[in-house]
Amino acid sequence: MTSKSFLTALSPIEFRHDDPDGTIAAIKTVLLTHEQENSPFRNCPMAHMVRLQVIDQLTPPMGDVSGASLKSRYLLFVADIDGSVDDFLDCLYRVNPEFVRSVWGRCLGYPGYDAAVFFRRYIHRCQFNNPLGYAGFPESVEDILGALRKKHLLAEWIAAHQGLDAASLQQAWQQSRASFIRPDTAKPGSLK
Amino acid sequence: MTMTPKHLIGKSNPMTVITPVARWKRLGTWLVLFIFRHLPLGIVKQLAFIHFARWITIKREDLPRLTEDQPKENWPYDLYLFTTNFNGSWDQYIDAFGRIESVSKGLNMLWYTSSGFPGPWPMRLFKRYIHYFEYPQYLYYNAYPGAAVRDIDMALQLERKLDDFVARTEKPVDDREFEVLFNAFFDDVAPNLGQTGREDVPTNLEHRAQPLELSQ
Repeated sequence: MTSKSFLTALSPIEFRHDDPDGTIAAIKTVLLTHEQENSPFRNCPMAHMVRLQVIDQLTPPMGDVSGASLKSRYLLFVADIDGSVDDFLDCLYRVNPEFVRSVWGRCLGYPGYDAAVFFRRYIHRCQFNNPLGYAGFPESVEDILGALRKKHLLAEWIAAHQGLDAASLQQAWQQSRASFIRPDTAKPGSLK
Repeated sequence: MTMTPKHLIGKSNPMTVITPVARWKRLGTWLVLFIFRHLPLGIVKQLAFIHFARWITIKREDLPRLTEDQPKENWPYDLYLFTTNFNGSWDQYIDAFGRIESVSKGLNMLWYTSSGFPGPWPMRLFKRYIHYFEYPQYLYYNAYPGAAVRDIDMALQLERKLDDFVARTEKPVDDREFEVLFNAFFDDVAPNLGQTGREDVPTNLEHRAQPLELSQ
């Protein structure tokens, strides 16, 4: 059982209406080209689920005709992770500093220095704490992937050894038994 | 709403909803979240299709202003952010929240202070409300995209039984005895062997589109 953290951060991106430097489009392009299989979060073993989205504008209540609007656009960063937020941020910076630079490096107020500690401090400035969080399972990513892998291996083994007589079945099991003790798990983010 | 390309594969779907909360309801929102933090949320677990969810209030004056030239916001409402990762379709998800009495009561409390919240019933108004305040994702990552909550639950149950069977069969036994053991084990775990991976019918996939802002 591992403790869970629910990271929620809002980073301002751009306040100029016409986005003259193309910052918003550039960030959106980076996000869209780093989904699932291409995601740097695959190399962060503590990340269960992560989302990044650009908040261009907030929706006022129905019937509000005051014209209220946000003056800046924001990047929403939401992550459900095992362990501490700092470890996750350090890991993300370590596995793909270019991704961090091309996303948060384009946000307002990001320091002009390259190091995980500055990324961490920046996110802390943007972070909102104390959510009401719900996690479906207390197990870690590694535990879940391990269980899924064992299930997959067992299903394959059973399908491959159907119809054997008792002696052959036991012999086959004794040969394969060790592979069920600590099998290699799939890389996070894989469909299997 | 801007049409956004999505590339969602696997069995989980994200949803982000940001509803406005009037400032004078701030204390009420804080109280609701405080109460729910001390509740077991067992009914949510019984629904068995939510991986992770969160509710968090962002006060309007706490919207980050990190440079001097960034203008101060004067957005008049607090932001009540709800994010979830669920299995099944959007409609099935919202239906469950509205149709199960204990869940809909909790839902009513959680969104009670959001401006214009119509309540979980009638369903049509509730769905319209959620859809109105929903925001699209540009990047969504899932560490186990091929597994629904039930798949994970089954896998964890299976793992315990498998580890037990592996331990019990450390030394060879009489073939007949092994066959009996194995058949009993297989009967026990057969319901846990459901397939994971890509869904057959990608109901959560939306057609690709190129928003204008990305064509610069």
